[in-house]
Amino acid sequence: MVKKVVVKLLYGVLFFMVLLYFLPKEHLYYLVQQKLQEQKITLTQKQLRETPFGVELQEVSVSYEGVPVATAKDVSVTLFVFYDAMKAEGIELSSLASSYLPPKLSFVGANYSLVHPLTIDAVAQGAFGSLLAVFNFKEKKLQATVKPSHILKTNYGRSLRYLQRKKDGEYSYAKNF
Amino acid sequence: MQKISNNKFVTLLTTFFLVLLSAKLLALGIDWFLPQQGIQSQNKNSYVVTYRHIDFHNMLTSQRAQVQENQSLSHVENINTLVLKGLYGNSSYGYAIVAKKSAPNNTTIVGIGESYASYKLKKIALDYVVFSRNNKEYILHLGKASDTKNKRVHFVENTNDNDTLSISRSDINYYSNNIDNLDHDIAVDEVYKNGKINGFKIRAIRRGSKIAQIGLKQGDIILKANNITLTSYNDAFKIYQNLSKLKTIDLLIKRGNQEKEILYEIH
Repeated sequence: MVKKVVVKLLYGVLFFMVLLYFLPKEHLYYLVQQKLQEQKITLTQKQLRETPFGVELQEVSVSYEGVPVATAKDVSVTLFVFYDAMKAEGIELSSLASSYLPPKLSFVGANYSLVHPLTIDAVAQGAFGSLLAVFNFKEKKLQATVKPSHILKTNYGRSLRYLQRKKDGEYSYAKNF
Repeated sequence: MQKISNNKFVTLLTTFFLVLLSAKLLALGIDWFLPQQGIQSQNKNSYVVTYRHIDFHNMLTSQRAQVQENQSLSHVENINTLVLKGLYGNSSYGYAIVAKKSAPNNTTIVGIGESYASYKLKKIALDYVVFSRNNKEYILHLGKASDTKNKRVHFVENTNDNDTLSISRSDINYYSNNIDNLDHDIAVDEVYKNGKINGFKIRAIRRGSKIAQIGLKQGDIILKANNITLTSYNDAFKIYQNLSKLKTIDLLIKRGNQEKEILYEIH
């Protein structure tokens, strides 16, 4: 009996992995593009390459309501459903955004895991310092902690006014959607 | 004879292929509902002025100007972006030495009938020259273009219903390169109509700033910029983002109860 259950489970996992492999990741990415477009966020890229379990994008640009926000040299998205991850490198903010933050970001990453099914975790590192953020689906709440760099503190002090300073020198930000 | 299905290996292999096949079929089924093409980056709004109001006032004025061409120069405007360094000739023959205010040492010799910075040299007088553009005449006095004090008065006092004014590229870059400069020099409030943003009202302009010299006044409501109705901060940001690429800026403003269109030509 147990053996039968284990075999069926293995077949289930195999089916799932094969399904992920066969899924057209490029077209799934187009679906994400469309969903973002509904939120007025435009995501475009110069090159798109499918990998067995995701997509790799190059020269990606992000704009909001047609206003360029940022570009990224390389973005990779991995889909395992139970663990999804997105990594972006070589990010440069637009001139508009760079009035509020240092324009270069070395890394932005976000991941979703079934271990924490209600949250998405994100990290970012760059000339501004580092950021850890958590978005909670259930509460529709974004919470972020920023460790500001010297550049952010000295040259972009105005931006820090939007954040709450904590006792340990870090800054926090919270927003409900 | 042994049945083929009794062979464990064959059963396993068959099941494995069935799993593969069903996964592939499901993937194809899902693909059926997915978009087959991505979104291409495109800019829906045009920041270049492609449409101009038909202005009967201007049409009548220009016709009158042709009739009175040689009678008076009182209707002509000053060119604020050019400097007249020297001149030679008479009303029908000669040349003028001109330069842009932003690069006064980079002079160019322009003959009558020739164009410089999109102004066509029309006439040479004793101490001034007359350029024309878009059926309008512009006067440039010898050495007087550098008189910025007079220029400011000219802009502020200009009361035409619809104006064409000039702005230097360096002034535009001053704002387009750093939004803080804009923040520092002008403060605006959104104007609401039926619960939606319908333009931006100038709350304050810093006196003596570059933006104070271009004819905008406190209390003006900017309704449109380059034919884009300003219904959100993003609309304004879009224009701002493209400032450095623009050759003209067309503003539709509401001053008091009157709407006024101002066209800025960037040189």
